[in-house]
Amino acid sequence: MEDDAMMIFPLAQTIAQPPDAAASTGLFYLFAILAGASALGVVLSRNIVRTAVFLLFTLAGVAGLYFLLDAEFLAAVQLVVYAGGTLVLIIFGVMLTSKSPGIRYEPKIVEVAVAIGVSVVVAAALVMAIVRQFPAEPASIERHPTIAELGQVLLGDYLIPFELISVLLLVVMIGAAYLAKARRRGGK
Amino acid sequence: MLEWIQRLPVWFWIALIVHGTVLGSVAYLILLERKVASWVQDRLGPNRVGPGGLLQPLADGLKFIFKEDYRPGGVDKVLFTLAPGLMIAVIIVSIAVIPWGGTWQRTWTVQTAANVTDQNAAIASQIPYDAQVVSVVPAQQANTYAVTFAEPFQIASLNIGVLFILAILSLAVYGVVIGGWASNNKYSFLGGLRATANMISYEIPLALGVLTIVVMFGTLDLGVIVDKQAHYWAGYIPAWNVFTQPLTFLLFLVCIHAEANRAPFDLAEAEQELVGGYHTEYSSMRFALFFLGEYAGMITTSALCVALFFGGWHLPGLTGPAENPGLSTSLWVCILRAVVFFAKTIVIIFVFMWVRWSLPRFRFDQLMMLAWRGLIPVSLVLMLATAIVMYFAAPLDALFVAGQGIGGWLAFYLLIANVVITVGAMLISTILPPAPKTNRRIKVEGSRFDQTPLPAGT
Repeated sequence: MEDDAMMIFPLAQTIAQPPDAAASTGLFYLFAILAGASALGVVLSRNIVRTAVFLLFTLAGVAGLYFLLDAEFLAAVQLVVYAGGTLVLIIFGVMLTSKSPGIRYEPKIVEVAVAIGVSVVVAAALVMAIVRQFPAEPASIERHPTIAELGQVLLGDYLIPFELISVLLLVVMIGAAYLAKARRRGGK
Repeated sequence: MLEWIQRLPVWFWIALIVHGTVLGSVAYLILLERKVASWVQDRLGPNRVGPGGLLQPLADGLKFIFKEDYRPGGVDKVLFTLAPGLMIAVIIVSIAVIPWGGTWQRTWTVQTAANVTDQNAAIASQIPYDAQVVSVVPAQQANTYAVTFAEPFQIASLNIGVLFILAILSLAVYGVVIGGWASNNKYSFLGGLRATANMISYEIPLALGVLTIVVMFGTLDLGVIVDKQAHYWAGYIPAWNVFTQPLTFLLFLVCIHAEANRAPFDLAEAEQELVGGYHTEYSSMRFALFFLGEYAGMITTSALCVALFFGGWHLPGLTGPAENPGLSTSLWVCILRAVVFFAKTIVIIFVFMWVRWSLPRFRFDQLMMLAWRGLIPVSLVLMLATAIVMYFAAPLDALFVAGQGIGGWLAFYLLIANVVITVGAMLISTILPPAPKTNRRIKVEGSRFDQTPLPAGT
């Protein structure tokens, strides 16, 4: 066989097959419905712990959508930081502070009005931004390992904002420790 | 129809087999646990059902199924049902990225129709879905090609595999905490709270330990991390990370004990204080799911430990070519690798059981102290030291520069860094001020710690 008869496929390319596409469409609807329905649950549920569990499923659904978009790092970080970290702390706090475990949350009418106003404004802004900014056809996305580049960008171009956020978190932590300590001293 | 089955990717079959094996072996791990307990306590252990007690897991399973599925009054019905399922689902998902056997490369002879214009697509439609094509060589006959393609011998090959396991395992706490809360029982509730505090504290040193290994190899892909351990130093020492990072391994081992809520960290289900902890109110198969979750969690974390520190599937004779040791053209080699991997995992699980029946349980403040004053600072320093060694010594290491793992001298420097940090931590711990006494005796009026005289007339 001659040299030119040899064909080499692009190595990193996995050829998209019809079942693959159907599966990702199905998964998209699964995750989207999961995220949307549990987001509704977060708003409509009166029980604080149930609200937190609904929020867990919302976050998991969004993480699933990230996975489908090949943003695996973002998906994993979403799970680590929000679902595995922040939400656990929220549940922890709710459980420690609520007097009875079956605490029910009854919002006042003013609170409901303010919440509706804020959500309408944010939703309108998001919809307008999406309609104006994004083309109808998504740009083709090449698969490539993103973590190394992400690290370079975070500790290179965006070093100062990155460090500032760390300092902010440190301030929050020191403040929380101080408040906790002060309360204990007062309680003695 | 047959062709359709042949084209199923290898991960499909691995997923079926691995889930069957893991869930099936959990039953036998429980038997092993009871046997280990009996060896430690100098008694016989279960030996009545079947030869040597081997059918005991079946009997236990039947008992669980036929037990009444009792649900006490006042529980949150939805969450009470959800919690065990959440626990087991999370654990099962996390098994997906374990690299059981490197990469399996096959060559198929593919014949395409004469009149197709896009030969590439025609070839692609005849090999397994998702396969990575390595080369296509035309054969003697017209429109016939020898197609070589490779598939990772694992369920999902993510380039963030390690992070994925950490992310999924960080959700395991929800099963415990929701189950504890939904049971409407103070003991369950306290168990859930303890589990939360325990797991979020020990996740930090766990992640730092994993990060130390990631710093060494520059990748989050578990398969690549295993492949880069599959060679030898000085001819016969296997290049496993446990030899370069013994201290990191020790920290990691402690953390996975805590993550699995196993003794000596099993405060969430401390029988003497909390009846049964978070699963006090559970019975029948719901309880069995919690049990299953605990043991399957041990399998996942032990498998992660094997992949990070014990070279995964690596044993002499199972490696591929030197430039890509994970590659194999034989299915049997891949299966043998998976067996080796699983055997190593069982050894780690045996250590889990050994520890459980040898060590007493920590008090809660000791548990927190160990994490925040011991493990986290040491693992931070370890990661810093590893980064420094890698920064200065790695460019001199031929093997590392070639992207094939850690060479002998680099490994030696890392080992020295580990030893220095171990000695340093021991020296510093002697001059550190003693920890605050959190276990204060609180004076309750009239108790033996209360020295004030009781009011007259009582």
